[in-house]
Amino acid sequence: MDPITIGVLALLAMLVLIGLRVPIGVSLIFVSFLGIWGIAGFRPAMSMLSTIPYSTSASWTLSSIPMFLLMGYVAYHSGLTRGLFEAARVWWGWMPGGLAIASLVGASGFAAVSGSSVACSAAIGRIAIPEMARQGYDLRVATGSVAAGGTIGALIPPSIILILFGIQSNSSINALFLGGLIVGLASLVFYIFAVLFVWMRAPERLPRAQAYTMGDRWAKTLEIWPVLILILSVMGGLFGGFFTATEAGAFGAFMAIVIGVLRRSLRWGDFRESLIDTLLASGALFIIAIGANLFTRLVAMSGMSNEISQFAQSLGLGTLGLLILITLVYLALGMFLEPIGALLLTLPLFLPLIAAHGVDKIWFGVLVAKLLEIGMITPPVGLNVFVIHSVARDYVKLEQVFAGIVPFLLADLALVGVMLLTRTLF
Amino acid sequence: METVKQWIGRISLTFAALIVVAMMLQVVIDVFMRSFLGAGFPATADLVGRYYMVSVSFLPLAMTEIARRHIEATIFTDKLTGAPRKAVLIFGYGVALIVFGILTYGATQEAMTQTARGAYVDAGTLHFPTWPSYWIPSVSFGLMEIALAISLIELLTGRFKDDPHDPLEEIQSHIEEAH
Repeated sequence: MDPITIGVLALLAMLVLIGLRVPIGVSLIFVSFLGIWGIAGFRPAMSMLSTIPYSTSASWTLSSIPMFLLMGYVAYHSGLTRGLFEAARVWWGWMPGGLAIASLVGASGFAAVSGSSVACSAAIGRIAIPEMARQGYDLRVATGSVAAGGTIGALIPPSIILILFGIQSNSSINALFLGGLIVGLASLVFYIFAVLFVWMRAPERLPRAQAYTMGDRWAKTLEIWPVLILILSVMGGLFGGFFTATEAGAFGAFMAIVIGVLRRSLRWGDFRESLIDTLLASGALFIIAIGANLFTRLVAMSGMSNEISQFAQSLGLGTLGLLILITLVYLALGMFLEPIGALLLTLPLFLPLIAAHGVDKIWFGVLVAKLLEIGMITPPVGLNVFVIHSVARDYVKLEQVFAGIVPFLLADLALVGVMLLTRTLF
Repeated sequence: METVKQWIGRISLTFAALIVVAMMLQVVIDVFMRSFLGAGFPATADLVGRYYMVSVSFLPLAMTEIARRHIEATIFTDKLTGAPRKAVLIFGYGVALIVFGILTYGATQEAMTQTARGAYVDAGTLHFPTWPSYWIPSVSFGLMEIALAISLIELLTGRFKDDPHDPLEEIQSHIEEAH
């Protein structure tokens, strides 16, 4: 068999294995091993399998992931992030659709201490949805705004997806974080427009909430000062060039623990829980990273990347056409796969293609992160939607949450359109 | 057997937890020393990369099996029940056993090579040995292999608890405890 055939067969075998519920990391390692064996022989395959797990994990850059995970979990378990929605509510609740806007802003704040969009949705949803229900909000809009707001979590730094992209594509994490911050904030603005659009068409679905005095507003803002300091010091250190990503993560985790202990809100059990969550998430994630690394070797050895580039060229799409095609692939994958798996699965195939077309890696990474996050709110598998539904089970049906997503999904598609059209400006 | 599995998970996770905390503290100390004393903590990058990260990546593996926290796509097999479901599970464990078997063998070979060579890196003036760190994946993959084998035996003898990790339950329990 020629290498290309082996490569294609390996790819198909992998899809079958993943469909049969074999863990994604195990599937990647298995087919890569067999594929490399088929192309280069047993000894090279065995030698790669002996060295790549160690060399993948022994990485300074990768160590930022457990640190940021720890910071997010400690902040969450010690209730540090609990006041974010409240603070946003007293500022913006009086506006048309104000509570939905406040939950979006609260989610963005949470996003700045956590790299996970599920945690973000759950944390804000638990507080914001009952409040919106009390104010007579249409529950589709209420739940939709929180599920969508959660997706900002994986864009605004720290972002696990962007760190993994940076390592796989060998690009600067700080540059990716800056891009993620811009697109995260742009998402927030687009989502706010979506809320206002719903309000214009049916104002009765989003009644205005009570307005507060400036004194009340500052009082609530003061209550969340520990989170604000945490966010400002981590972001300031990162973008001021004072910290590497790992240092920012370690410093942020340390600060979150100190603040939690000083406020007496971080009990021993919370700390233990945060450590367990961090380690289980790391373990599940790094085995996929190792599989993706092996798979990258297989793709290179099989000559598949050349073949894919040629195929893409034969379509005569041009760069924009190619990017639209890749966008559609990610939107389709996002419907079924969890984002990190989908990311590491596809990068070995797409990165060479993107490089051949001269597309900026940083821009592409941010686009991919955005697309994968859209997958978190699209049916049939929209993890954020499931989480919101489980938080608000007493109020809404799953179909209603999916219905509530529609305006936000349209806003997302508009933003992706803008990104595609303005690519050359960055 | 379940107890063996639980103990493997707990002990490896406790070690990993201590290492995460050590990693955090050392990086923070390094940053402070660099800012205020002009020189960082010796060999921080090598210690973090070679020892801490390798431990944090591999030691929790056995626990991810026990807590069923692998990242997998359940959508196509969720509707299966009875014998077909069991067949899918047995297949999955079979593949995982093969993969971690090869990984254990490969990592052990590599560890022996590096030990024989006395692998080290030069960190400034420090002669920093790295060969012991190669044993971390070897041991972790071995423990994972044992945990997988126990799960497969439980599955074949009908003692397996088929409750795949449900992220919603986890979030739900966090929500409840937050109150």
